[in-house]
Amino acid sequence: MQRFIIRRLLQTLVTLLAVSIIVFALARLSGDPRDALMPMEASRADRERILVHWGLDQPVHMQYLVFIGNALRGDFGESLQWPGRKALDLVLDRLGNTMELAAVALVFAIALAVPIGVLSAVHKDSRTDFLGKLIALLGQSLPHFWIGIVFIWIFSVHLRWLPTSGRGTFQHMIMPAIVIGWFQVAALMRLIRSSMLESLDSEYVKLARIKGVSERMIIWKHAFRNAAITPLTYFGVMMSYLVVGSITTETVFSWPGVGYLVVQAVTARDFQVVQTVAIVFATVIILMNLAVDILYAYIDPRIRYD
Amino acid sequence: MSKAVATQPLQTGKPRSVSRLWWRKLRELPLVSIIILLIVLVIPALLAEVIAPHNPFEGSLGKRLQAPAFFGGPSEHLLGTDHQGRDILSRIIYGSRISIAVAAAGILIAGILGTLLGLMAGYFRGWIDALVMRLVDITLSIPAILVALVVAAAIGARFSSVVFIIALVLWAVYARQIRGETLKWSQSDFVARARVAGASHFRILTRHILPNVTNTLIVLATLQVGFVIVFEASLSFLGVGIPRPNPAWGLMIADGRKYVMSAWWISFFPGLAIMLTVLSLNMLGDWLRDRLDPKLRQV
Repeated sequence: MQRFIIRRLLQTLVTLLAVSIIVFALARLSGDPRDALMPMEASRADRERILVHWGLDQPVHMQYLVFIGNALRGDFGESLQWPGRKALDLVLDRLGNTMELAAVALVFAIALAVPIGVLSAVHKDSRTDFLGKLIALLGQSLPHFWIGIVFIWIFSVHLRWLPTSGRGTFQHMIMPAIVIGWFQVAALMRLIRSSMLESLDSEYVKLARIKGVSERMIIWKHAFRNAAITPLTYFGVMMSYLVVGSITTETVFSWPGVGYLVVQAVTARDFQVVQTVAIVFATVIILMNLAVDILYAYIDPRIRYD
Repeated sequence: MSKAVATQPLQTGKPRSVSRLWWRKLRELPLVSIIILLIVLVIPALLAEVIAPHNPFEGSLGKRLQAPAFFGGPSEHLLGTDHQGRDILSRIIYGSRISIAVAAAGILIAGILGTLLGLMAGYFRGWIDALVMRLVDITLSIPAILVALVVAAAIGARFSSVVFIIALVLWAVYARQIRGETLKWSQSDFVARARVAGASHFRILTRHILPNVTNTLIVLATLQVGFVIVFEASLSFLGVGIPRPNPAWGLMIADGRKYVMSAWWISFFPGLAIMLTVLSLNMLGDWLRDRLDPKLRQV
């Protein structure tokens, strides 16, 4: 177990390093990174200051070391759009809002995917199964942002049930959370269905049937508990989709999270904020994957020896 | 009774007519998906000049925000007009070209790159394998949309940057899948015999292994077209994909966002086009997968 954790930690470190190299390289795609880092009307003095801050007068490998050094100290530069504010502070201020939305979306996805997945496995090839497949197919084919706009049109403009945008009450959260969560319902449901089918076909379920255990107990206690382990591995991937899905969804609903912030920053060409968001999001996702892997290895010892 | 049945001549192996046989084959195809794809994506893209009723780039401000013809608007604009008075139907028709071009270019580049690296990793093993698989893991753990935002902020949005990002993200999926297949086939008897017969690595890879992974490639590519179309639309919607005033579907949805209170049709119809296209592509992909490569069902 210890060796497994150490190996996974090292892999995580390499991935984080790769992320920093990618962001570092992309900032230099345009030639002079100051074109990306600064507005066009920046003064000479400002350009000089940035030159020194990012070590741009030095060779590339030194520039990278300066970049990493600054990043490790939490210094990603200052925002252009909101002068005087540190890019990292801006991002961290909003991270809570994004996580709040992701959590609600996650709860929604699980609450919908578990019953549908289990039911479509139990009643395989029935109408329920078909309906489940349809929901899954729709969820994976519809673009987030479009569902968001259609929802606003139906529930806010026509029915006047829910507020169109912003954050405040629980009502503000309903539409964005459903929009982000729906895509996950599809994937999670498929996983639960296939692992349920497998465990319903197993020896222990047959034995339970022979013993005369009630069908309800068989489904939820014997079959589902074992089937629930497989979808667990998917949670890392799922969290990353939830975070990423927040970028388009927050924009549609003007939800004051990191996703909305980064889109505003791109529009304003506020590169310092964009690169900070990229690194913070990537770090959050990579760490979550690490946590899930370790948790999974803890639950299912076979994984450790892969 | 039973005797009579038994003595009846059996009708086996002899098709009544060739056309019937073709009809049977045709019925097995996922026809609904194919028809929707033809109507929404392929025919508009091929014949945009012929079938589009208006110029997708030019509109007159006097005709802005007109409702669809079936919703009380003038019959001149079937799906209504946008905030600049441009015909929505014509823009959707021309937009199909952008979707196809981005998907084709991105998947082609990613497919070639991923297959090449996957073949080498699975065949030669050793450090190439270790390196490629590590790169695959890294690529898959970084969300594509973040890369897209950083690229857009650094060099701005354009067609080539969208294709670049798609290729950058998708190659890993091919590489991983093809590597696994290659690994399996390199241990097969026919590869061992080819090696004994003195075939070069290049010949073994191109003549013996590549043909065996082609089905996997086709299925993967088909399943990804839908993803790529939604992805491109998301980028365009966020303003980091195809630049204005191109009639990209995602851009059109973004244009309509401000008018959701008064002119829902601006966003609605391009989204419907995306939905129909992607839904059909996914169904077609599922069908192909079951036909050509049932192993992939778990993917």
